[in-house]
Amino acid sequence: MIQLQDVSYSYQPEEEQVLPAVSDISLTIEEGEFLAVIGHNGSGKSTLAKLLNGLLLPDKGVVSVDLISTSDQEKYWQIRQQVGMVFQNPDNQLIATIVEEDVAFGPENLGIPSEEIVTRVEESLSQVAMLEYRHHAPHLLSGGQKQRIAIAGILAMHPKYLVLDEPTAMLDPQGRREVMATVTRLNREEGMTVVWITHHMEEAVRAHRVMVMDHGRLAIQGTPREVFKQTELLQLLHLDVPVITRLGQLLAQDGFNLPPDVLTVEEMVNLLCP
Amino acid sequence: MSIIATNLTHVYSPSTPWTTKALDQVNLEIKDGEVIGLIGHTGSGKSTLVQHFNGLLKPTSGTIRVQGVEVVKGVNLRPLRRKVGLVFQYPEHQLFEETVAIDVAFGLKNTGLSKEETKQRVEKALLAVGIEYETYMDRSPFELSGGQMRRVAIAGVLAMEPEVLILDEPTAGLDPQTRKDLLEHLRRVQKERGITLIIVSHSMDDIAAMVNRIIVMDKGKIYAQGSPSEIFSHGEELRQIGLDVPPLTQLLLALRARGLDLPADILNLESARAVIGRWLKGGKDNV
Repeated sequence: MIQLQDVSYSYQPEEEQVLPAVSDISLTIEEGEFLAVIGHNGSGKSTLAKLLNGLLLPDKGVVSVDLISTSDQEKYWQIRQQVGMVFQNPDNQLIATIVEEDVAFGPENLGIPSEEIVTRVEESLSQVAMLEYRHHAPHLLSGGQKQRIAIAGILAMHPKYLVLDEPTAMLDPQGRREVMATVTRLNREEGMTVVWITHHMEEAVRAHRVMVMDHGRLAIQGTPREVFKQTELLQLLHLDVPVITRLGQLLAQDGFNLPPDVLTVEEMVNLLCP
Repeated sequence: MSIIATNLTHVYSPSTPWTTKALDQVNLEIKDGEVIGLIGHTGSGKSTLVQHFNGLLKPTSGTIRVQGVEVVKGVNLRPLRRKVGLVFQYPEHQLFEETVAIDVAFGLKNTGLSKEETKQRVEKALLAVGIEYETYMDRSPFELSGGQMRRVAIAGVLAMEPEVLILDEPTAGLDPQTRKDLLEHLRRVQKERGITLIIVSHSMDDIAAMVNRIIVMDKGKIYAQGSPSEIFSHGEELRQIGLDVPPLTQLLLALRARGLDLPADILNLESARAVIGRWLKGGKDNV
């Protein structure tokens, strides 16, 4: 469990007129949960992500991972290992010239014995369905494949929590589907706790819980259905609802019997054409 | 004037073990004032193609003629680069001047424009992307929000008043509202100035909303081209080459697959609302 209690963080704490990037957030992320975080540019999403594994330490309040505070200097590495981070640009996250060496980099730094590293590398590459590419050069892979290698590198450190900050922003549709499917499977089948930050409302639909940030604060949270019903509020927050949800709402306005919280194409097809 | 590619081929690292044919015999014409969406999976050749449009790359074989200038070795490409503005991915990473006004004016150095003309160009370019000159001219570009920085960076290219504007993934990483605003501004600039606009994007939604013609690239070749409704009605083929269709088109295609007689070429919310509404009201019993 990751807990945030009244957490605030400011990039310029000495300037009082500058609003903190994250302001008085209290939040509990349960084990096995898939939490999507959405919010306009500058709403504090990425700052929040970096607070979760101690890349940033709160100015006020406490962030704890399994009851250990991220500000605890002695547990620093333990927390980094528990909470793995994946960022937007896969090219900035890959370092080795061969896929399996790249995946081994994290566990090597943790001082894991080499026989175990071999096992871990195989395991994590299978988890992202990239085992057959183990001897390839990362820079020759597609965007989606590179991002899956980056995820494998994190998985090899055996984290409990996976935090992904706009992992699909630079990917083509195929890459986006691959990464979404990989992470959804890790969550559903292996119980990995996932925090997924995105600008794509269609991606947030897959989460158990959606959290909407605005000016560093937690504006709305709930299940995707609860959140995406609130079209007007979301638009005020510079966001949108999935286009299928919006279509359902417009058809309901026209007098047809459709709920305001249809989330996916499949659901809509089944409602219209049972 | 137009962009005409004839058997355009580009090979990276020729005669080495790493040789790759990024463009393979591409034939293409883009007329003045067209709004083109260029789509294709990573590595399909989109970026290689557009880099020929302003002479950043030169053909290995075949020819490319842009706004009357043939891109070949030895030709002075400066006039071409003024006519063709290329906005790279995440252009805000290239902002570097102290103030917004100076940054936008950067490309106008050495163009022989007077101070007053430069100011007017900068003001006009910022206005075109919805940034008020008086309010922002003296601000540091680094104090702006992500969406504002992106727009200032695009203004820097608009200030050159290009005849052809090419944007690579202009909305990547932007929130939905900022994305809509930016596309709205681009559409207006295109109309007012009558420029050719080429958008390279992975966002099928943006493409569907913006362009007159889509060019689909796959393995360095043109796989298909046509209007958005023509292209997106081929959902299955697009998925096979790593692409997708916008969610509304997906819905209509899925309903058709269940045997409903609905059009497949629906690209916006209002037309989807209308055709599904009409079907729910009356046509449903007849299907």
